[in-house]
Amino acid sequence: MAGPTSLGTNDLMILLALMRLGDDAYGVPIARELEESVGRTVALASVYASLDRLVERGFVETELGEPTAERGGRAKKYFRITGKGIREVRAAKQSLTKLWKGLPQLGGA
Amino acid sequence: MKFLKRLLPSPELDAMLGDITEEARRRSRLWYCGQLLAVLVVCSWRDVRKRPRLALRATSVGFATIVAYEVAGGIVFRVLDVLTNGGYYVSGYWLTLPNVLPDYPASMFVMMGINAFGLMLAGWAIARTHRGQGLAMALPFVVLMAPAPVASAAISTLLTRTNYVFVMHGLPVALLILWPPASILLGGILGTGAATPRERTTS
Repeated sequence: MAGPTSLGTNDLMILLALMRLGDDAYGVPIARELEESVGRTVALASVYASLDRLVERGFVETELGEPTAERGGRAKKYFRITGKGIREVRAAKQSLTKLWKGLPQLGGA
Repeated sequence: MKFLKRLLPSPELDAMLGDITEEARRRSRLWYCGQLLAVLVVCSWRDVRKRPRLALRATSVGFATIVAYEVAGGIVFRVLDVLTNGGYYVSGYWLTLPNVLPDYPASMFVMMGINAFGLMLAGWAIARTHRGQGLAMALPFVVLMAPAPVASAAISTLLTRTNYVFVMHGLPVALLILWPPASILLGGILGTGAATPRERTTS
């Protein structure tokens, strides 16, 4: 049984986006995934700030790609969820499911 | 982008700026400017949170500069006050100056300008002594100094039980709130520059 999760909503959304994107997870597609979910513009800087925290906690690892001309000669930074990160997402899902159980159905939601 | 790199000389910034460049093709100019502003604010705060001791040192540099400026300014004002009100008697001559200071309320703006220059100097000193961090280390000082004029206005109003002079003369409140941060940031921008390799590694 997984323990309680320490992930915030933003962190959880980013980890889920990383899982969906797989090997193509860098700033732009991650931000697009989040924008589709929340329905508003997302600041890339805050996405990177969250990713930075997740890297520090060992939930995400990074790898630098090759510089490309369309990016002004700057390299992409790829992000990948680690095993520890996947366990944390599972724990978060279990916690949320537990909280959800027994609630009356949310009308219109 | 070059200007942003000067304000935020972090090597981690490259990937983020690359993402913004790539995405900017399908977005508006407003989105682009908003993203760059967000990079400046978010990354600077991250820098401050990661290096609290350095931020404390930077804030101390800012306060020390302000105190030194106020002390020096106080001496200059004392000398000017004597010169315009009788003068100094030196070797049989009276050294005097005509009173060129404008009357109230114009003098209030002169004082604001003098204080703004002091805050600019503090911002410049912080950025100059923390060139490895660009403008980031000036931010805690900005946050601490921002409420100063408002607090001073509130205290004056409480003590004198009258409307504070700034309010009486219709000075926009936004200007009252914004001039200290703007002065510090302007000084900080002027103080940023290329860090030496030693500064980059030790900071």
